[in-house]
Amino acid sequence: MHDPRRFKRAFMERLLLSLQVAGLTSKSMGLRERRDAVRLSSDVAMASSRGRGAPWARALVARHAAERRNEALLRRIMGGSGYERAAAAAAAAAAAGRKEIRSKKIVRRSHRVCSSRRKRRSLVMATPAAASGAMSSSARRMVKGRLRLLRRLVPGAESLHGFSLLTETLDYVVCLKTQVELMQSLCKGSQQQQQQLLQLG
Amino acid sequence: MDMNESSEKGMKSNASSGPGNGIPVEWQSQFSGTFSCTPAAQQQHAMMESFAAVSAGLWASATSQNMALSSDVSAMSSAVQRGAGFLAPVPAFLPQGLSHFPVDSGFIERAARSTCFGGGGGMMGAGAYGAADQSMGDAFGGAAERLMDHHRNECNNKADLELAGNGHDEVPSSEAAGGDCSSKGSDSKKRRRPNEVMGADQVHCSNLPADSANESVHSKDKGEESSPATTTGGKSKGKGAKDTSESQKEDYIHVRARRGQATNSHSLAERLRREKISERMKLLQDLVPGCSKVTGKAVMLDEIINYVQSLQRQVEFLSMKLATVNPRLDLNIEGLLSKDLLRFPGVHSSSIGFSPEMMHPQLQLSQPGLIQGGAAGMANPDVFRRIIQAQLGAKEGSQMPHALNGYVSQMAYPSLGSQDLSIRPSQDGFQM
Repeated sequence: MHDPRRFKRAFMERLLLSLQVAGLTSKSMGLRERRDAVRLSSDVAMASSRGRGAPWARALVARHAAERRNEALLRRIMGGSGYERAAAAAAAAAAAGRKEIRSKKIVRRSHRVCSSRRKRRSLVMATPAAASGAMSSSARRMVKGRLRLLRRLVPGAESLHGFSLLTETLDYVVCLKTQVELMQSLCKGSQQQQQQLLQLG
Repeated sequence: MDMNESSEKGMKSNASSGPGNGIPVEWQSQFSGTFSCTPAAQQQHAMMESFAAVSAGLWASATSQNMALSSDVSAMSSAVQRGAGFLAPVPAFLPQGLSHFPVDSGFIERAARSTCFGGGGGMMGAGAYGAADQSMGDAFGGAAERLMDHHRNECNNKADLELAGNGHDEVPSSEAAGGDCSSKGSDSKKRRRPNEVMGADQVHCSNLPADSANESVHSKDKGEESSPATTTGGKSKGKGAKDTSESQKEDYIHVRARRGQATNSHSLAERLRREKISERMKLLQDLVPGCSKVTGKAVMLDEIINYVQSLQRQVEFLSMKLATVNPRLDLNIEGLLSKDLLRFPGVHSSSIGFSPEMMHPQLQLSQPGLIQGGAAGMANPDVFRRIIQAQLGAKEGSQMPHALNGYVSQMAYPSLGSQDLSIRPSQDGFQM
């Protein structure tokens, strides 16, 4: 149920409102803080209008919630309950991430041990060749490296593999695009407004 | 459905006006929209919407000649709405279309076919981009007779994922197969869905055909040993267009092995998985600009990563810009809304600035006047304004020029307390 127009509209609404709230909350701020506030409100707007269908949305907000200084603003924008949920998600994600890293290290170590025991070549060539056709090992390494990068870029996609990773990326890219569009139109709009004000006053 | 009427209105009003210039963006958004339509829960809705979107775009682009045909389109779309006898009007309709504009007819046909198909956006997108490049007349001819063919065949529930490739090594074969699987599976539930997000839900059913087309068109170096086997298999099946997609009754996907392929269950499952992934990559390829000529997972992933990074950087930059433009982040929402900022994309002049980025290199439609249909589909900005004002007015009525209390009661927002600055907590609570 991902209607792009509805998404955009909802996004825009929330964006405007959250920007308003951000403006109210933070009366006197340096440029950097203001920019962070804008960024935060736009991310939250995007994530919330995306809804529960996408894990990256929760992860994005959780990322923001994890930083203490955003707490006030987030509370204002999302309401107390929303903030609590986001904070809980952040804590859970952090714990899960740590556990995952640990288990991956163990698996990797055991792999290394196994492959050093058996003939390395036969193992390495047998399984990948069967699995993914005639891709050279270097190409596969490149792909793996890039997938790792992608996992780092897309929020909340740390533990995803293959198909689901690509799905998340797809979704995230579309939403990022709309975010950029909306913010650009906002910029232009307010610039024009200011110019008009200057001309009139 | 409101989209239908509004798109028709858009068509009618804009066929006369000259072509707008933001088309690529609008087209883009429509396609991303069709990508994102999730048919799982709302099959008909999504079908119609994607079809209407495409038809709106398509027809709005055409010249005023097509006004007569656009009425057919609306008739057709209402037929789709009823969900029955869809194919019947199409063949009758198509021959008329042939004479007028060879470029668009094949596209319509493809669009028509892919509407049975729910989340056919992905396919349509791919088809559209391919279509622009290739010779339409011959594609149309082949596609039309295939359409006749499977109109004759029953849409049975056999669910063989065979290729209805036809010796056309181009995109038409992919759409034919996509059409086949779509015509059959219009209300089949999607099983094995990872998540319902991107509306390429029907992807799996179009996977194989798409992938076969993929293999034959680009030479994706997935090292598919099935590639030669596929085309031969496809050619041998010939015009007896088979219906693809999963059966409605079964809980898993029936896959028929192609010629020269191992029928090991493992390899079948692997093949399916690989094709799902390649379908996703194809979608991503359409989304990321400048990825059309790139083949191979590694390079494409590279492009995707670069694109995501650049988008993120753009967001940062824009937020900085917004922060500088409004020194106190006090947007004059009333003023902003009056500018009709929400007529995105394509109509507002600001969006034209970034339309070249969004433009797909392959998308070279000869008639660029697509947008207006989509823009007309947007909701009334007044309603929007009222919503925003009502909410803000509940918080601090002093800032807004008019008295908003009337609005507030009208909107019946139950619990926007005066102290509570959170946005619509009662409504959505920014639920995620």
